[in-house]
Amino acid sequence: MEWYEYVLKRLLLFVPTLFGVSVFVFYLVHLVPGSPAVAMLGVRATEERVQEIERELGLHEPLPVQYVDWFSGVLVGNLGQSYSFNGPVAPILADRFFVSLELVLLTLLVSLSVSIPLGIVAALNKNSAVDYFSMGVGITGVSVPTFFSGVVFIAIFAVGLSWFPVSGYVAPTEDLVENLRHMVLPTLTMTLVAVAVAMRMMRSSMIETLGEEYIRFLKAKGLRSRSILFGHALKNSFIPVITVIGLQFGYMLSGAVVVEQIFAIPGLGRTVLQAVLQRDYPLVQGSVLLLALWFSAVNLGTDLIISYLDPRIMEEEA
Amino acid sequence: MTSPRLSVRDLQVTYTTKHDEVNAVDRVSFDVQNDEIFGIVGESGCGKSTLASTILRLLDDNGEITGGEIRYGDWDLAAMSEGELAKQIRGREISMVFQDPNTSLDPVYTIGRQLIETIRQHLDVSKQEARKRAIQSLADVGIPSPEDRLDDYPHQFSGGMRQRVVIAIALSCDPGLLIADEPTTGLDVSIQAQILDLLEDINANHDTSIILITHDLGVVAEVCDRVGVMYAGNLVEVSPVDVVYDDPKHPYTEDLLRSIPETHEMKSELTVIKGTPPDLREPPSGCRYHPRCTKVCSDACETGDIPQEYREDGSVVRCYLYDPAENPEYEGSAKVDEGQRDGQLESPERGDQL
Ligand SMILES: Nc1ncnc2c1ncn2[C@@H]1O[C@H](COP(=O)(O)OP(=O)(O)OP(=O)(O)O)[C@@H](O)[C@H]1O
Ligand SMILES: [Mg+2]
Repeated sequence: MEWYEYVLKRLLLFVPTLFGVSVFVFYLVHLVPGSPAVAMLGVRATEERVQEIERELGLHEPLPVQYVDWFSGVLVGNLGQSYSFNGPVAPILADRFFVSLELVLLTLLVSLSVSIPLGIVAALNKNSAVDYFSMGVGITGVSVPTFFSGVVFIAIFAVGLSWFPVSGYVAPTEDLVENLRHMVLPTLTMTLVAVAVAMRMMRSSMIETLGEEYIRFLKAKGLRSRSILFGHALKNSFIPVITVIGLQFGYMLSGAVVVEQIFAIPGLGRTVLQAVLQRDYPLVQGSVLLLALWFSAVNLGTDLIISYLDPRIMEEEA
Repeated sequence: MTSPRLSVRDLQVTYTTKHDEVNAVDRVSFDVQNDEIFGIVGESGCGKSTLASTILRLLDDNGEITGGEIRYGDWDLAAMSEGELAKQIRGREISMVFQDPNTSLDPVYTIGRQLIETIRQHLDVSKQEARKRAIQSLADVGIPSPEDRLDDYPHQFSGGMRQRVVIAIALSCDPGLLIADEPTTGLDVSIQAQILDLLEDINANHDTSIILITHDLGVVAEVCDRVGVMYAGNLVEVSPVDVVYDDPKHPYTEDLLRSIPETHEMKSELTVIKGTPPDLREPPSGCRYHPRCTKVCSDACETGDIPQEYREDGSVVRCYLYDPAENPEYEGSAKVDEGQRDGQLESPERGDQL
């Protein structure tokens, strides 16, 4: 099987995934107890008023009908009207999505450029000072909760040193420099956690690879350590790390909610939280759908990259 | 007189572990002649692989050469720097093939790339030229339509074919010596024979000496010219292959032969050597084989140093049986002098290539 055939196959398989995800998301959202009409009107609203609103929103219809209604809209990019924002869901989500995406991409960029080299150096100098140092960084990173490190960063770098703004968001289209200045502390906070996982994975994967017999054979062929490391060990040891990075990348978008709250960033995570509290069904559905799609797409991307790097994967599929 | 291709003298290798030192190779000396297939046999754990990796200086990190020389041409491999070894020796003059072809190749690169990188590492040739050589190497080891297979990945080959690819890589720069550490152990019996044939063929048609490590005396009988028998880190006997089978010198060699099923002659019963190989962390004093030996002839066997090398017919043997001072019943043997070793006298010389 050629690689493009594999890609096509995986893309085709993505269509039923989308469909399944949409059904799941729809029912999940409607299982949450509490009526949006009550949320909108307050608990002291009259029964008639509630029913009136529910009829207006189409909530009196049976669930399958509501689903078909909603999903046929989704297919043409219409995610419905948000109750709480008084506007169409799609553009609201798009805005929020790109804010979160920037945060996630920056985090990924920074954390990978730290974790991958650090993991490699640690593996090459197993049980040395560098190794213990990086292990320390890793353990600290995963054990300090985000809400704590975020607040500490604000206290030191924003309040204390005034290097960066305390919170808030500026769109990159408005002022790129200000945008980045606002992104530094949130990125740093998220990076702390992300670094640990990728670094430890990179380290153990590199150690395992360097112990492989083919590395010894490469040495026996007269290849220099540098060619062995960069020409063979790196690619082999990076493949398992990609899976981990992919998972991180997938989770981060929704996982950013705490950081978005701390730094008052109008991202997707925050929006979902608001929407759930408001019983804003269309907005919740839309954002959960988006998150699920994002996760599936990242997963697909990960698989495609791995299949491109590791020729054995396609063989197993075939 | 031709000098041997490889001369190992008094080689000593020690592994250091947390609590102990493992003396895995002890005062081993032997020569490998030009164009011969030299077998090394011995039970599991006697130090065969250690000896093989020491020659290319590919010991595990905790292993160290603690004495002796490894002469190849004008080089002493035991004293060479890593950089020089990579440049002059590994893959260029001496190549190595490991036991398991399934793990010897990098799974994520094509075999073409793995061949070409070896060739370009050692020979100053263009990419196209290297590619041509790569195809030739594959053809030499009997891979059908080599041109089409260059862009295949290791997993697309069967076990036997994969071992051929490994051998092709090892031979791609025409080394003078190929070390094959149990190259057929992981393969089907029918494939084993093919790989052995290939090694014989390479030995006959290229100017390549081969060290073939195995624990299978049948394999030795089939392909080797001479054989070294290892026991517990010592090389106890080096003999032409027919001597080993017809008139083994060392008691261990004798016992070892008796312990393998004889297919050609159904004469002797199968006997197992009593006892177990010693723990190399604390090897026995004297001759390391004495606790299991049925022919102990002198106190020196138990309390002396390891026996010297004695010449006996075309063989070199390390056993007090052949020392007139320790074994009065024996006379006529002589210690081996340097410059007058085994093989150089007995095995026919096939030209000096170095
Ligand atoms: N890295 C190491 N550290 C400590 N001891 C080792 C190490 N490698 C090998 N040894 C020990 O050295 C001795 C010789 O091992 P070696 O692998 O050379 O034997 P072998 O003859 O090749 O055995 P086999 O037939 O099983 O391959 C064994 O006792 C083994 O336990
Ligand atoms: Mg071995």
